[in-house]
Amino acid sequence: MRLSRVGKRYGRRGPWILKEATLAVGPGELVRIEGANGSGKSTLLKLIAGVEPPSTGSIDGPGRRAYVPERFPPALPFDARTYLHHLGRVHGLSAAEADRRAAHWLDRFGIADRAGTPLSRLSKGTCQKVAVIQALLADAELLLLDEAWTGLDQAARSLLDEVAADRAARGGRVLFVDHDPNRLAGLITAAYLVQDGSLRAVDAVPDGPSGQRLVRIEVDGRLPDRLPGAPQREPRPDGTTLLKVPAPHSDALLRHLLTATPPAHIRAVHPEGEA
Amino acid sequence: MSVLIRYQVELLLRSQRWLPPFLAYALLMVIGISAGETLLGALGFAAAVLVPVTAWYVRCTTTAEPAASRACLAAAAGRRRVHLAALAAALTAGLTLGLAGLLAVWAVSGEVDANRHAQAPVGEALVAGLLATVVCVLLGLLIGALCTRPVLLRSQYGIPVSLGLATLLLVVPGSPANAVVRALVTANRTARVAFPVAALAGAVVLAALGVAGAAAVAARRSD
Repeated sequence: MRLSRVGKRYGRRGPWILKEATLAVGPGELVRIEGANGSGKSTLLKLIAGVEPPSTGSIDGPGRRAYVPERFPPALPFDARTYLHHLGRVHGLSAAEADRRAAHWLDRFGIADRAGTPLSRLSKGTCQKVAVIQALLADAELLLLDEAWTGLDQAARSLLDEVAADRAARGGRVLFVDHDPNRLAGLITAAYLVQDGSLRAVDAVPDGPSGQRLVRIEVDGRLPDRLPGAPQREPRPDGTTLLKVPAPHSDALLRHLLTATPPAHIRAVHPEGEA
Repeated sequence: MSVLIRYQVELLLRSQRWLPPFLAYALLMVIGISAGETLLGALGFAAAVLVPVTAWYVRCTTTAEPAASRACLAAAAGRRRVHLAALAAALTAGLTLGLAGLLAVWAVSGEVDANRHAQAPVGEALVAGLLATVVCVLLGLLIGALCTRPVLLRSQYGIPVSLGLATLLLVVPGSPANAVVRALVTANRTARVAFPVAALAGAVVLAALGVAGAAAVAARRSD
């Protein structure tokens, strides 16, 4: 995904919101976009999503993109299941596959019981979950999260963290805006600041929040190139591998290892510091 | 694309936005056509009404979706295709309404034409009516595509400009809508049914250009 000297303003005489923005995001990257309110972060994500056309410059991106807006309108005259069915179809899934995946994600976000309720009667947070799910239905190559965590409950926030990290780990490109500075800390590969209409790279803060603990996982068997949580790998003489991953991502990593084909054999899991 | 169109049609139906244009059409038909009126005359009136009504449907389908969910759709399918699907949904609505109107007119009409000496065949009259329906729906689509977002951004002008253009297309000689409606009115008098195929070709070309233009604008301009 590449932005070359992209500029954006609304209307022919509007002020420039973004000017000469250049950005490249490769597979496996998890990118944070920072900036003050009204600085143009959302506009940048909309441009990348193809939701808004750029005024100048060009954007080359992968075909399949998924976007989660900050606020999802309950004004749509659908229930969650029907809406997700349609969006899954638009994302290129077959009808059966769209329904299957919608049911899967509705269940994981804990709103399967409200799948038949009209969106207009769902709470704000539940609506936001539907908005998140529509973006997760198809394994889009580019996932754009515009403060998608806003309004979600704690469990859903963690799940979205996990899913975003997992998408990047499996070779997707994830860009997000969020006001929590610790969001996905330790996992982001790059960060950019939008300020006064320009975009510049800032430190991605390589380590997580101070004191974040690592979990050691001993695994037997061949491992995929990309793993959730970007664990450190230490090959051992007996053919096993020792993975060290930040504790918040150990669940995602374990799930990924166990559901891989062929599944990896896990020998031991223990917090760092214990033998 | 068919998936997107189905979504837009379902959105139009479920949001109840199909209702006001339908009621306006039904009201105008009740006012303009009395039971037992000649088939050809009534078909001419019914076709003419379809021009503004279809333009209204375009307005409905292009504005039915809240911005945030349109954004989700645009990310998945692209702005151009989303707008094309909205226009296609309006075309579907216009054609469905036109066809239903044609059948209703056929059901309530009396004689085929107003000529005291000769009666045109019903089949010919219906074919001419169908042709006029398609032409008027296509021109309504053209007007709608040009008078709504993202082509016309000042939405307060959309409705008066649409009505003005619809009137213009119906009265200006040489316009396809004028040609088909006049053909029906003339056939009503003379009992000789004409099929202005050139008008159909003209309407198809105009509508295709309008729709392609509107889709191109949708891809390049924010609203």
